[in-house]
Amino acid sequence: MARPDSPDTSRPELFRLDPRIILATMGALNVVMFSAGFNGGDAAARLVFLLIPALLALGIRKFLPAGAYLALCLGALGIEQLLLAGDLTGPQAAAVGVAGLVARLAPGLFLGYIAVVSIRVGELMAALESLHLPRQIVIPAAVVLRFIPTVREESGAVASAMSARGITLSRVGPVSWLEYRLIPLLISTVKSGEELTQAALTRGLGRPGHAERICHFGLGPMDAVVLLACVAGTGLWLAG
Amino acid sequence: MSFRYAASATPALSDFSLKVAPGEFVVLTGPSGCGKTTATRLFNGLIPHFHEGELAGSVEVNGLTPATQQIWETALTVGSVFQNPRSQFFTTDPVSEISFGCENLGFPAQVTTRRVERALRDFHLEPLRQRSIFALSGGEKQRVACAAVAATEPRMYVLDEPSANLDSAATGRLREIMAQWKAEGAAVIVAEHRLGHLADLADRLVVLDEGRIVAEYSGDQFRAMANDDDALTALGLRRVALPSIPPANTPLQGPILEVRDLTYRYSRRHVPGVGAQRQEPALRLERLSLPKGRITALVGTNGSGKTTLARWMAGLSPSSGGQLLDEGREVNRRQRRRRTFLVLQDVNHQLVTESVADEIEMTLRLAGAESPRQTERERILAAVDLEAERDRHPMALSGGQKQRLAVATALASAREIVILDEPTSGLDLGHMCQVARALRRLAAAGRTVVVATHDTELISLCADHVVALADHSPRD
Repeated sequence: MARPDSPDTSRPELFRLDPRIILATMGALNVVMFSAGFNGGDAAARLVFLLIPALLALGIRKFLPAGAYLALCLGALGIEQLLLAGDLTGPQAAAVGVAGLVARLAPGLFLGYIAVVSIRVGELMAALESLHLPRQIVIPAAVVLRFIPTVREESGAVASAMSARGITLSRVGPVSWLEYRLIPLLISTVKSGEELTQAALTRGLGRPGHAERICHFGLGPMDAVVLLACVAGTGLWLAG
Repeated sequence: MSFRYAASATPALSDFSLKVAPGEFVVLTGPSGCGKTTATRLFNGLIPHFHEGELAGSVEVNGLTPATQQIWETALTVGSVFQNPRSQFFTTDPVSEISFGCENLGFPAQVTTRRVERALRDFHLEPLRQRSIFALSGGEKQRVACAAVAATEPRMYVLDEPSANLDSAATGRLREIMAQWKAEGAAVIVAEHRLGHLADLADRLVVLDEGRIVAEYSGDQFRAMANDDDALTALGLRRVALPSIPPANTPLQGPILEVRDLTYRYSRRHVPGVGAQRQEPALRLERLSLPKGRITALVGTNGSGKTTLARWMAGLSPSSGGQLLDEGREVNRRQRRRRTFLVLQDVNHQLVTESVADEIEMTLRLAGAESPRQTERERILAAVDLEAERDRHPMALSGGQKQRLAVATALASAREIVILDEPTSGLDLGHMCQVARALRRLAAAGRTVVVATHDTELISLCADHVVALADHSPRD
């Protein structure tokens, strides 16, 4: 597929985080979201963690997604808390369940999305290596991050190809439709994976020993803010 | 030396001997499947370490033996550039990509930084340093790939069809890069179908067929042969002196399709680590005329909007103004979807069934035939010379066969406008001629054929009309 060709008119991001901070936040956020209860300090802890992904989204100028995410999560958390304040009827209990689930799942998913669109592969490798993680973890993690946009690109290309041939769900049925979407995607992804491996091997990826990376990353003021928010949120949860 | 892939019954290379001196530029060529890619893999160690098989004989590069040492040890001496610019990037931005090799090979950070800065400068990549590789054109990606390899300063460069996906401007830049490597005293080995840009660089031309060296020429012999199309054709090679494209402004006769006032703008997209990038118009067309029932070639550099136009005509992307007129009557987007058949550049995405015959039958059914007649299917397969392949899996076909199968599905679809995007990229002479023949059959069946291509040989073989799209972008 042709890529848009145009002069670079990019605007810099407002702030970028150290990949290690994003990963640490992801860990803490998921633990708290799935362990914290409904009341008092637990709810406050969930509110804090719910706000962090929105803050990161603003940093990379994802204003619209951040707004939509906040509306969804704050709405869900609000409904949950409002209903819990009174006596619950059957349907209300179900509503609390659904709202609670949304408010617990969405932050992790949204943070994952932010991580994928904001972390560069080189940065991730350098950051993970600085933590002295073994290559068996660093390389697969880098490959996964590298492959997400590729799969998305390939998937779009396959969708176009299907559409160009007039293969639609209503005309071929769900089973064939899924087959026609997945098989070319799998084949092309496996093929690019193989080509990628060859290219990486011929550029010394298999060499044992330490690699000095030149990629700059490090802690900035916003990293401190996010880290403090994580500590505060975790503290609220532990105290609550 | 010889090599047989583990999954194959016949050897990919037999009795292959090649000695390359420092500063020597060797071109390996021959039809698809002749063994030239296999030969490149011997030098960079991918054979036998990545592609396993039976290897006899020995390879030596600058005193090293790629067959017995680790691939990374070979990587210190041999740099490799591959065909597909999309799938040779390990990272997602030019700076990390260029530093990647140096870092892996254990260079100290200051050396890596210096090499990266120099490579950015030497390869004119400074303006692109902040971009995501997903926002680069094919030519730019290939330039980053070359820069990344050059940064490790190998003694030998091995390139496997590096120009297959490039337009002529980008191919010209690639040529300059390779000339520089040669001037610096490195040995350069290029496996290619397209020879035009290599004639004045080559010190030697090695022609392979079915795994054997069938001819070997010195650089001067190669250049002497460059204008002798018959001699090249006899060897199954593409032309060296490329035919010029006839001017586009010949008046058209007969019924025409017309595109009017089309402006197409890409939406803004987010790029990791860079932020949102606003896109300029990718296409601006006042009037474009296409003769019905004929073959029109659409030419223009990468980025001139050929693919964009093809997708718009096929109704795949929404219009932002612009009309398609069929003898004066407007064809709206929904009608365009029904009346046009688009063969995408990567044909692999488009072939979905388990056999060649199924592919045609499914298309006939989608076109409205309740139970497609076998004779109809066979007639279509015969039109593209694929009768013998009817039971094979589409993915097991060669590149040229896949393209012809896609043309066959276009025939089966009964849609009157068929648009093809670069149908001959990476094809050898024989396959390219077969695609040209298949396109002629489409036109003979009354279809209006539009082929977006850089391939001037294909154009000279089959186009009735040529339209050049103006370049709107300052990039390649």
